[in-house]
Amino acid sequence: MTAAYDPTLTAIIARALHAAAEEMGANLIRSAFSTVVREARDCSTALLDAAGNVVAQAEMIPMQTAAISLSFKSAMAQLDLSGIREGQAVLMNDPYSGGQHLNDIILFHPIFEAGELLGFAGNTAHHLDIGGGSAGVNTTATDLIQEGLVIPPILFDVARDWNGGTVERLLVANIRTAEIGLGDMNAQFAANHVGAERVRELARRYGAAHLRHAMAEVQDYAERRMRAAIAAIPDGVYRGEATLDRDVFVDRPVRIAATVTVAGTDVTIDFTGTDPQVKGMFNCPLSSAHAAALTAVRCVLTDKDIPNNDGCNRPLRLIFPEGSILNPRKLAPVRARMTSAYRAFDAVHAALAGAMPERVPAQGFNTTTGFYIAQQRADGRFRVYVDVLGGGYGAGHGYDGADALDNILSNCRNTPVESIEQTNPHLLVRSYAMRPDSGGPGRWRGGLGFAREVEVLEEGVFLNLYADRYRFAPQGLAGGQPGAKGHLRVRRDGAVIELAPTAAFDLRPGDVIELAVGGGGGWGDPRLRARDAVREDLENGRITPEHATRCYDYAIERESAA
Amino acid sequence: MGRGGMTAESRVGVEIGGTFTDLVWLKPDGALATCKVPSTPASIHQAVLDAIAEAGIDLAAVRHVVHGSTVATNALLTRRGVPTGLLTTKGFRDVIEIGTHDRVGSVYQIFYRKPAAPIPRRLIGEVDERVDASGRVLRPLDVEEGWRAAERLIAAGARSIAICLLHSYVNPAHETALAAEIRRRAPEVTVTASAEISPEFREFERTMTTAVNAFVSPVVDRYVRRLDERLGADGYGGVLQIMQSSGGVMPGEAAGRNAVRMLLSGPAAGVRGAIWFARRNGIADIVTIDMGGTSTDVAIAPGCEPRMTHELVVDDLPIRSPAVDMVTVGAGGGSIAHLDAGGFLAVGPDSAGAQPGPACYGRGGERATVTDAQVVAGLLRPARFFGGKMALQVDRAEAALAAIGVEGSLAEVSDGVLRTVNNNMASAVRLVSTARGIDPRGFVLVAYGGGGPLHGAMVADEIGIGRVLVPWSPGLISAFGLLVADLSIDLVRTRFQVLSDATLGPDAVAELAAAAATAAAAHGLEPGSWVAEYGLDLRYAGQAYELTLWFDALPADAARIAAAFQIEHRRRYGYARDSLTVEAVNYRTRIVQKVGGAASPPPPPEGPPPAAETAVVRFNGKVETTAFLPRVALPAGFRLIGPAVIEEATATTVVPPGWSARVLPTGDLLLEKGEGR
Repeated sequence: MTAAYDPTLTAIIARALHAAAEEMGANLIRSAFSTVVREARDCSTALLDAAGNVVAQAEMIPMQTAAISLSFKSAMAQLDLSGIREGQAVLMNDPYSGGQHLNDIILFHPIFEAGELLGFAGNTAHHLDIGGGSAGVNTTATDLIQEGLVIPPILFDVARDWNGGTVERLLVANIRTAEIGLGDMNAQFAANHVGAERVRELARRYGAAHLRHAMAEVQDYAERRMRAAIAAIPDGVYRGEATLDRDVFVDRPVRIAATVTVAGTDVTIDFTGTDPQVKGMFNCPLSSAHAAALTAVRCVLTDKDIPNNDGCNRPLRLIFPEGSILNPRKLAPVRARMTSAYRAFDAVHAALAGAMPERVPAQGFNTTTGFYIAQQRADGRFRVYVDVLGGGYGAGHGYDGADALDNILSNCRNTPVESIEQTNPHLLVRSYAMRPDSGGPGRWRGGLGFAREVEVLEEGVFLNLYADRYRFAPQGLAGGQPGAKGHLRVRRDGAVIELAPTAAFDLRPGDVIELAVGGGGGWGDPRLRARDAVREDLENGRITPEHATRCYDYAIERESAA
Repeated sequence: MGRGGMTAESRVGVEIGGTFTDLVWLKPDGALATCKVPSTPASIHQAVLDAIAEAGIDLAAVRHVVHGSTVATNALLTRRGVPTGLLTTKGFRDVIEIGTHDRVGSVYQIFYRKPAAPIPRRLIGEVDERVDASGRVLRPLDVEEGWRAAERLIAAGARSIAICLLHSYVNPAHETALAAEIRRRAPEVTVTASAEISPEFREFERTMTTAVNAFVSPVVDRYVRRLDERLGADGYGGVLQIMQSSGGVMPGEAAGRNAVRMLLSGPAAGVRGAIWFARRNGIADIVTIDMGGTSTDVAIAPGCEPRMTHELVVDDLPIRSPAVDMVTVGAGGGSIAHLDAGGFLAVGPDSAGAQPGPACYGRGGERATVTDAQVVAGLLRPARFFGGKMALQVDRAEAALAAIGVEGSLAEVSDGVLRTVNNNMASAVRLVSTARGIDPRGFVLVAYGGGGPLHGAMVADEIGIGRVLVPWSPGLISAFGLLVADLSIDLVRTRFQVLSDATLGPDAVAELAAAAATAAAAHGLEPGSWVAEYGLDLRYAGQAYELTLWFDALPADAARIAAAFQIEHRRRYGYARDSLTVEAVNYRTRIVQKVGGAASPPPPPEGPPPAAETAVVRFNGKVETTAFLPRVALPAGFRLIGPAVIEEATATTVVPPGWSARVLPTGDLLLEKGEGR
């Protein structure tokens, strides 16, 4: 750093950039239309420098935040942005051009002040529907085209092509829930406008030169903090793996392998040995795989507050073999990429547990359960109810896993039951409750999973689902036991229909859907669990007496006699 | 200015803070007296009685005692409410355990702990009943079965019971019946039904609000009763009033049932006070900064109406209760300056608090605080601090600043700390203004609290605000705010509808008026002594968050309402689409009974101003010879050009270079960018 720039002011600008990204996020959520964005908050925001490096992000969803810079770099590689003007924007969702899955629409705006390009404002929002073979999610897709409208990075003129122009019309024509999709897009535009305005204010207040300096310095700063935290991990080569239940079409486990090499302040993660790409939608495009690996490292570092920007990526080298499930070839379907991303995350943690077992948790449920109940109404219009659910957290040394929480890569809110029922008169939620005994037994207990029961009230309703861990439970660590698996059942006329973790199913009025997500793995030998903690879990109904006796060797009779 | 003349409405405002309890007494002749006594955490109400005794007040001659207290907040933060149970709809026992199912704070915290709910799971029971989203009963309540569920919670130790059933905001019949039954059969147990406290949709937020209310209300009720008794024994014949987060007061008896409404009473009282001082100087649009020892509260009041929110977060728990929309930053006098893990200078949120306090207090604090930077910069004169009652130790402040580890001279370090804290406050101002679509540059910044007047002009400079008002006794503005706050009652009711002429048509307004009259009567307000205004929470059909718009007590047609909504939506979010359907979600009613009487802080002295002393102060790295003047001796109309420092017992006002100051006819100080007018 040169002495020409006042370091106090640099720090002030860095914090202001972060605040601007946060404000973009708050605006996006509050003005969006879909429950996915407005309630589940499945979106993220970022500010980039003129070269396309991310300099600030709102802390929202690690899966999206860690990947937005790859998205932009890919857009830069495909488009000539050298002549970009005020009033233009870049729109994209193509997973093979730095996108995630098609539902995640990414929008960038250039930021100009006094004719000079200062950087870009960008955001990602998960859209309820993006076309494709089925409303919400097409579980039987065998290529990307069947999953919906593919938008490669396109540069367009907002005044001409939006607000009834070509781009807007093309997009709207391909979305089933067009009003909602358009509402969310407007919220995305508005969020970028706010971010751009804040950056312009900073340039006016402190000068463009100091702003550019701060944008560079904040990346160096994040890198310094990353490296300082990585230095605390013992050097070595560590291996780990994790397994998906199955692909959509082939009932065979899919294995992900990670070799983590820690050398000083550098980390290399090589996923060589990972199974090849699959036929169905569980493939994970590069930007998602990248985000999963980076997040796996970040969340076991002691420094939790490193600002999110491209400096965080510098100490990491990531290797994803081409043609594997973590780097599929073009046009492979990717809709459920979160599942394989989670197993990549688990594989990295399994490796790092060899380096520092007390800083790495047992496996959490770590599965995104995408749950869609759609109804095509008599007038042809669709209602789509979607929830993105987490599960129980893995326990750690000195830590009982958190109950009923979204997993670490996603951090989405659930939708209030009262909200679901207002907007979906074809559904009635019968219960929403934690599952006793679902937390993996351990000296520290895994977090509990939970379940939703939904009754179908009208005709024309069908469900789409993708999930995982219906076969392989979240594993314990250091002697801890596995957490509970998940399941999806439909109760119909007294019978129970058990569905696979990937399902498309027509429903009838009177059907009751029971969707259960699992718990986290336990940490340490459950017989060493503090007796007070077992008793408290019993009192609060987190475990049943039978479970206490069987898993914790807990003597109920004696306790209650005493 | 007030309304001038004599008044018989003697009032006392007492504000309990963490360290001190402040009292402002409006005497029968309209004059003000003040006093400050140590707070008494072991027996909170004692400090109120101490302050009254110290001020020599005859309670028999006092019309109102108005009180602001952190008793509810403390009970919540320390989780020392009463053992509380919760009854939910069957199948929904875990509404508060599951919550919103996302993490707050660092998204990378894999050893995440959820915010602790005030009710353990073992004290949560279910009732077999169900109402749907339209309010239709799908499964009738069996009151006897409901009572048995309550009885089990009582047997397990619950002394207070919260009830929150699905969709009770649209049809509260089951909650009402169940609450009545429990009250009848277990009168010793406090019962809070969600429809009584927060009849708004979103079951988690409503349940948490109800649970927190049930948890802290009995503590507040006991506290208020005890205080009321003691005041009564000392001759007080009026109704004890309690400040709410909304900036209005409520009768103490209502506070005992609605404790959730007083979680932010202290800062709200400060905003009320600030507005009073702005008004008496003819100032309309203000931003307030209230800087204390550990944090700074920032709010905005365009047209002297504070912006409100209905969504509070206290200790990471969502609370649905009307409150002044406030941003709090960890930027107080005791906030600690340090280098963060990446080598950037940062200030707060950790604070040295009252103990050990800043290093310069010499009470064992070794870490550098904002106060230490103020001393090293020369803004605080060690021998004059706290009216000369507490000498500051410059060498300790210097040693602490040197130990931060920032490169540069002590002057540069103290300058860096002050600029950082100024910037933190400026960011908070931007959050309540530009982030809400309001350009604050034409506003006046009202600076109070012990530290506000020191930083006010420097913060204003950051934002482009050109005027700063420093009111009378800046350290006592919250207590003063209690004296001038109106009584207010807020009601809310969810009713989903597409906006139409009927939404706020004559029938709807008549219905709202009737409900307001019922609520006013229930609070003991005389007919004709109050007014009501009505609000609507509006959104585009499909959105989930609403904007609240307020209307007077008259009917309004859909076109007028929609137009106002489009303007507000564009201001807040940058776009509006008039082709979209607008929905109304909630009706809000605010009942206001204006406070009577007049207060008049002592006028400025007459005669010549005192001669200034001078000392060397560092502003932005530059050494400046600076005038120091005692505020108490400055006459009306007195003007000075910065740099200057104006000292008084509860605060220090800094006039930076490039700013000027004058004493207004009221005695309040106005700081202006440039040479002033």
